[in-house]
Amino acid sequence: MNRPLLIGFGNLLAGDDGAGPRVVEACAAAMPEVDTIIVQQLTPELAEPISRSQQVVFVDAELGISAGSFRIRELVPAVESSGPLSHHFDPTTLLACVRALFGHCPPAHLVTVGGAEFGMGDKLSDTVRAALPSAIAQVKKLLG
Amino acid sequence: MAQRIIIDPVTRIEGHAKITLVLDDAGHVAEARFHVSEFRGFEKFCEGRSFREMPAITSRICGICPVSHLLTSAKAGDALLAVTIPPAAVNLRRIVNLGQIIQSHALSFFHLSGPDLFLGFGGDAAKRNLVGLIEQHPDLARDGIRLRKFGQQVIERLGGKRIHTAWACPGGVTDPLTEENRVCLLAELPQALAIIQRTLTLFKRTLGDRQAEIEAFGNFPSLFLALVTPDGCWEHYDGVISIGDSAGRQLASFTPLQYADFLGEAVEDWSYLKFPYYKPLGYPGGVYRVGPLARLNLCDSIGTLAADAELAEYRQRCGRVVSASFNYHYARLVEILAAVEKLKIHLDDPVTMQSRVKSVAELNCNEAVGVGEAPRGTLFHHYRVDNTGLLTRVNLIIATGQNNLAAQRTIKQIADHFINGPSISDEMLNRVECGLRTYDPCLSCSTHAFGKMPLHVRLVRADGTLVAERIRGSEDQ
Repeated sequence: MNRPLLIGFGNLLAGDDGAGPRVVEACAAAMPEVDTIIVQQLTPELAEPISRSQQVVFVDAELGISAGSFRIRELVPAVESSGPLSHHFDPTTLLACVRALFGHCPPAHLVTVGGAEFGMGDKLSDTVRAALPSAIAQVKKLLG
Repeated sequence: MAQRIIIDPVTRIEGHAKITLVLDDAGHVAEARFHVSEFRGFEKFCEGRSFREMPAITSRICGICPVSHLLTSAKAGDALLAVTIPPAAVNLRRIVNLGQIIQSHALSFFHLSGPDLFLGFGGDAAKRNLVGLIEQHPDLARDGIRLRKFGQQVIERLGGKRIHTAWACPGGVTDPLTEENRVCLLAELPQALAIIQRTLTLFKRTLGDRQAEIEAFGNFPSLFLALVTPDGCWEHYDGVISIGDSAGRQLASFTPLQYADFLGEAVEDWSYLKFPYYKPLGYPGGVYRVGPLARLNLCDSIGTLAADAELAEYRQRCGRVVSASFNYHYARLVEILAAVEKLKIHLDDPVTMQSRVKSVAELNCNEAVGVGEAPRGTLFHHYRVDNTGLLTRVNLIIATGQNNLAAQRTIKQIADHFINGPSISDEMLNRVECGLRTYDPCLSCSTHAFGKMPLHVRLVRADGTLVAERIRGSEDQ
């Protein structure tokens, strides 16, 4: 039977950019029934494990919301991509690739944690570190 | 009155960058500047750390080519220990680097440049992307994903599931290859070989229609720098550093510790990316290129049957020394084939399975340089340490930096072809992006922000007055 998939992405050496991977690390230990992937950035070959999953939840850091807050968005595959893409594939484009390649796409959500410090460093800011338990709880709820 | 065209940011390349084109009064391109505006500070960040931590730390620089930094840092560490690492460790490091070359070249060719190459350089921007490629050429897109996955598997079966591993370390590697993993990798090789061979066939069929791009995408004489074996073969892990010119003359050959005698690093106040150059020719005259094009230009042969046959055809089609940056794409495919063949050689070699994979030693030097070939070109890690092994100075010279001067010239050459006056066509923007992507530049992937990067074009006079502005993003297609 297909299992839920949790994907955390971001750079663990870029301060709060590592929030996504850290949330997924914590969930992996607590939720053995969920498959987890941690990457620095999204890349096309992730389409295959996503296609095999029952549902997928992406976890990322975000610049555009207040530090320590988090947002949950339901994702649908990008209907039409905006032209050139960066190396930093975004989740909806990746979902569009899944649908185009495999003919279907699982339900998907994106959880983002607002970051404060994105400079060089392997530690999260105090604000984001304090917010992680709530973010982890939200992810568990989505996957529950 | 002189005008400036600014393209900000360039998409589908690593990191963030913008381009300024300065027009003269007649509307011709007088200068092209490729700005890198994100400051990374990685070298300073590393000072005070132990050199033994550096492979694991520096491998986090890049999400696409972490293995390159891992190996080059470990090689600098080997030199600080002044040890010869076990033969099995050399083979294992070579195997993981070949896996890295395959997966990184596959991403560049199939997924980043594939839409340009197979959907048309002037095609509808809304469709000229990976999803469009999947819709138009699903088999090609699947091949790209399979090949990239294979390269990733090579890395994971040696270094573990997590990409940023400390598997390579000063003195060798931490773990040998298991027989189970060796057999699994060998079983995957035929599919990888078939994919790259049919992709080469497909690509070569399109070359006849690409003369305009070949002429305009960075087609100029320059120097080339790459590792080669002592007997002149293609090399990706060790060997000597060779510099040659477009006429095929070798100008210099040197060891890693001698690099500063031959390479300088200029700085401009409008970019955070340094401008390495060949010292004997000065700055900016000493422009040189690194990466697949340079590696194929500087080697006599590759040393494997199919790749040498493809190299011969490549040279028959493009010349003995290839100056057109468009052919980076072609060179990447030849290198994937070489990597697949060399993987088989190493996996079949009994030395690879020897149990001794690490040499142990104390710190024996205070200064060392590690050099290796990243997918995008030659990578230098220069460390100075105190007597306890803590770093007092770090200098990293990355491939994209070494291609920086060539990238500027490429942008100018494309703009010369496609800009006439102050108007900016989609076709010109596409081609500037495509021209840069021939180098597969990797500027920074340390931080990312959620959301798509728009293509922002501003046309301003020299006095800063905005003449025209276009934003090509996700919402306005």
